[in-house]
Amino acid sequence: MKEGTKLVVSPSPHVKDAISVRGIMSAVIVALIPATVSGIYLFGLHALAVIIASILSAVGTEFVALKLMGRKFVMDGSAVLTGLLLALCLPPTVPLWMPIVGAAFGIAIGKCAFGGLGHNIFNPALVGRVFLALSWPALMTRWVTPFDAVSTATPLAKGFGSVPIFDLFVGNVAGCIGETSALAILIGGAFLIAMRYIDWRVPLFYIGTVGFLMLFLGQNSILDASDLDSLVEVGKESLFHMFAGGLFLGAFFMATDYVTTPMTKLGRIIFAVGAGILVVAIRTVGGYPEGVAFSILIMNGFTPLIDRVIKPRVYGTKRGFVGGG
Amino acid sequence: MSRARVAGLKPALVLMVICMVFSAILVVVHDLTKGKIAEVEREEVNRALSEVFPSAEFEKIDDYYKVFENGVLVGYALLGEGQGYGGVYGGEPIKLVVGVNLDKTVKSVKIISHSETPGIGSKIEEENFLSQFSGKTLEDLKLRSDGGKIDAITGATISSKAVVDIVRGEVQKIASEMGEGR
Amino acid sequence: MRIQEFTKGIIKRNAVFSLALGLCPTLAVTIMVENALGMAFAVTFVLVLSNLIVSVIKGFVPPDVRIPCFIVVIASLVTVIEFIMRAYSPTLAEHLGIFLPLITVNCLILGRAEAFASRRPVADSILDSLGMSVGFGLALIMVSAIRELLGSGKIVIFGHEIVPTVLSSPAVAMTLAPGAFLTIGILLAIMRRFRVI
Repeated sequence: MKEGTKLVVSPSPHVKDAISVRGIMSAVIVALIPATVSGIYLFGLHALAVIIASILSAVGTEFVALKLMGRKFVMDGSAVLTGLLLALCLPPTVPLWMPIVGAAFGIAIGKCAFGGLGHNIFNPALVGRVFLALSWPALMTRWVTPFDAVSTATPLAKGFGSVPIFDLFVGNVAGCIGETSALAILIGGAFLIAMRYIDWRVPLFYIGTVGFLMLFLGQNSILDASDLDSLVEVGKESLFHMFAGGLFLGAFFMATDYVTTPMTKLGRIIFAVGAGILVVAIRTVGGYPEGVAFSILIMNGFTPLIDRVIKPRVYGTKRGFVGGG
Repeated sequence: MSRARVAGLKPALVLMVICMVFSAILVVVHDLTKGKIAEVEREEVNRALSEVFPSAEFEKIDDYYKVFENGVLVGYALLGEGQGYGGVYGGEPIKLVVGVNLDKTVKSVKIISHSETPGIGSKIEEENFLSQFSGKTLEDLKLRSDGGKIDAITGATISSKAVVDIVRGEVQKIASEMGEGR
Repeated sequence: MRIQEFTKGIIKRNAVFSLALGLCPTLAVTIMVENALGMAFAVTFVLVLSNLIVSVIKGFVPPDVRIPCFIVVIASLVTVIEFIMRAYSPTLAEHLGIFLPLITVNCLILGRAEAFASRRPVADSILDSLGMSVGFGLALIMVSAIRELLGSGKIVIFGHEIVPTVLSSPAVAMTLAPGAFLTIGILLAIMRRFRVI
């Protein structure tokens, strides 16, 4: 790409210029402030150090990688966002080298190896997270309670009924730095939806699918419910699975990533429902207590296929699906 | 026989000769190594058995071992193996040895080899997990989520279930063996 | 007899990095350098002897049965090495597991028999197979050294600690299948970048 060329031909999503990318990225980062602040408030200064280390490593790796690729480094905020998101889905106890390694891996292998921003298939923050989870499973599952930092298991590992739903909603439970407080994420997510930066359908259908399926597939199934009390239990368990773990963080900030999710509204709904089904499958019959990261990564892999099957209708042609070509 | 038919047979004959020559080589190598291979396998089994019954003598009967201490029957030992989580990707299966007391309860379980995920599934080797098996009866040998008395390792349900299933299968074998003996 | 028949297989036409042959065992057994050495030894044995035998019998094997003949030769050699390993190095045989008998279907071996040994003189065929084996072995050792170092934190070969613990908490992912793909991919990228191959 020559300097000063005005016409840029690129594959979707069509990034018009660095300014608008920077605008979107800044908005998303602003929207993450409530979750970040609640994470630091709940888990202390070490959480802040993890976040800073992750962001610095992400930006530094992007700088080096783009230099190696012979491209100009643009501070478009996407690396900052990747670093921040990665840190928010790490346990608050990790040693500082872990966010550094994870962010470097996510940016170098998950993003730059595919050709940089706009070309990556998988969400770089989740690539980094999954690499860390596969590599250091013991360090990635050391959870502590908020404020007093007593080691404990996450609500999902302990199972339904281990914590009050209200604690889950405000985030007063063990978990990753930025995932525990559904409330804080909801504030940031509502901001992004109001500003029309993200599609409300994705979080709605993603979280909705998990909640709906859990009515049937949880420990308390709606099919076995005989009286009002048991129905209430079923509803509580469904809420538990919606608020617990990283579902809110994933639904508002990762399943809505511009690059790695489908372009059309219907495509996004398919993406969200598919990810929701995967979360339920992993949580109920899989080997892990949590499955949000895997569900989004797997659906990332399906994104090109979804986009291929569900193409936007060309003006003047008949309504209906246009088969891939 | 005409010349043409002989020519048509030539490929088959050549292939046959080559097969015979190499079969002969294989027979010779097999004969030379089979004693050594059997010896290696015997040693491995003995080492495994003495893990659960140290300083005992073993008598092989079909696919299990009677264990004698000073000439008195004290229990049974069995070698079991099965697919864990690692084996799914072509890794080695979980191999273990089970010691069974005369009252059909488990004496102890030791893992011989496995290829479970290090740091997660590899915890099946640890005493924390394996000590749960001691004293359990056939009915108890299930994961707690399946109505038994064995706690699965967090994050390694598949590996834990594999171990429990192998152990239960082996204890079942001994139980039906003892049932028939009566 | 030309010496470049030997040297070409080491780097320029490396089995793994240039010809992309024998990737399956490369991905599977390179968890430890020890396994890589065992695999390299087994492949060398089979490749050199099969190239030699194929080159010797090429004159009187009719073209229509040449592939079955080659496979009989290769499969027999693989079985021989399997017997020997199980008798004298049982731990190694267990580590290599199914990938030891699978050497039979390693494209590298049938590929060299068909493409080289069945049309060249015996001496050239031996040189070619030796070069290919060295190249294959080097590739396995490179990949496995990186994976064992990062995935186990140290390198232990037959009980000797070659490299002491350098990582106190190693990256387990490197010992899993993704680690193999990552290592081979990055090595290939580096080699292409600097035009080694």
